[in-house]
Amino acid sequence: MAKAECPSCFFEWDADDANIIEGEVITCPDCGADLEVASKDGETLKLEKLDSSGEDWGE
Amino acid sequence: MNIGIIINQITFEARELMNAATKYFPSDIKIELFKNDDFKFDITDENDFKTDVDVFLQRSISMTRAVYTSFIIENYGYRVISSHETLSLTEDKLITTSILKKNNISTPKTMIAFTKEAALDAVHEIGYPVIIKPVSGSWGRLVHVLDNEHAAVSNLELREELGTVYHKIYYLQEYVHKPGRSMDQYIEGDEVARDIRAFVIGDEVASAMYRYEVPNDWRSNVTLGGKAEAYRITTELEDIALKAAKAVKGEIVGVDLMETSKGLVVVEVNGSPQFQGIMKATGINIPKRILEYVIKTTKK
Repeated sequence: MAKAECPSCFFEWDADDANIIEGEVITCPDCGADLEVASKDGETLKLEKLDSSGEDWGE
Repeated sequence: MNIGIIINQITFEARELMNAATKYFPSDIKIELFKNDDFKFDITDENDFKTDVDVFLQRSISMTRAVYTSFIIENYGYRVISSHETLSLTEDKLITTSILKKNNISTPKTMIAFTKEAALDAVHEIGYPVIIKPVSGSWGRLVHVLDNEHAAVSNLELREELGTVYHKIYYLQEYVHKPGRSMDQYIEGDEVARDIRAFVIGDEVASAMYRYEVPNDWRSNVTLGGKAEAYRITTELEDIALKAAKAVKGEIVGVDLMETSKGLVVVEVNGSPQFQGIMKATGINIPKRILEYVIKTTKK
């Protein structure tokens, strides 16, 4: 469990995935913004906005 | 065995593949990450790219980069999963639908037009409601339901003005009524409208899940917040999902299906499927299964 706060909408949540690593892309569960884990300090994730506009991200 | 994972950002999928390699195959598999930001290929020199990697797993979330990097690396003589061929056949919905039909796989009625006037005629021929999708794209982006003439005309005009040529390729599909109620009719304890995602690895459906309609939406993508739960794999699902995977020469693909009174229909095939949602819903260890498949199918 790691604490996270969305830099876009400031929603706070507990990320239940303990394996999240630096550089990983995650999605804000509230506003859906794509975020990058800039650093992981113990139980706290520092997140940065990732500009995916104009990208063709998908599966 | 050396496995290269091609990425543009680290995702849940790339990270879980690395973790599974360390946890389950510590002496069999060595993983190396290849960030496509760092790639620089001389495509006129067949010896430009050399590595001791035995097989690459394509996990770029940029679909264009995925198609091109699979193509380039395969041209240097390496095996890439998913291949350029699979990604090219699945990245474009027009092509996927045509391939499915050619292989006698049930799929909703779909029409293509290149002007808004012809598109409106196609909408009338299909009959409301109609789904309009960009030929390329994921996660439900710009997928809309046209449920009446006003919605259709406004939506087509909007796409005409959006500017890129791809928005003017009108992919129009019959609306398949999902079983269960839509969220606006939802009653506590009742069934919510849903579709099915099957995760194919090689000749097997490794797992499958129901994806339920997103609240206040009609789509069910997990990335849009759709809830998911395990689906007990049936012979019918297995047959049609494996047939769809084979049609696109897919080794590891996600097949999206819907239930109709005439049986299952395939709506889409995803050439680089995510697996966070399906792992959570089914408990099946997808990255472990993928690595087992890679070991089994790669000659040393």
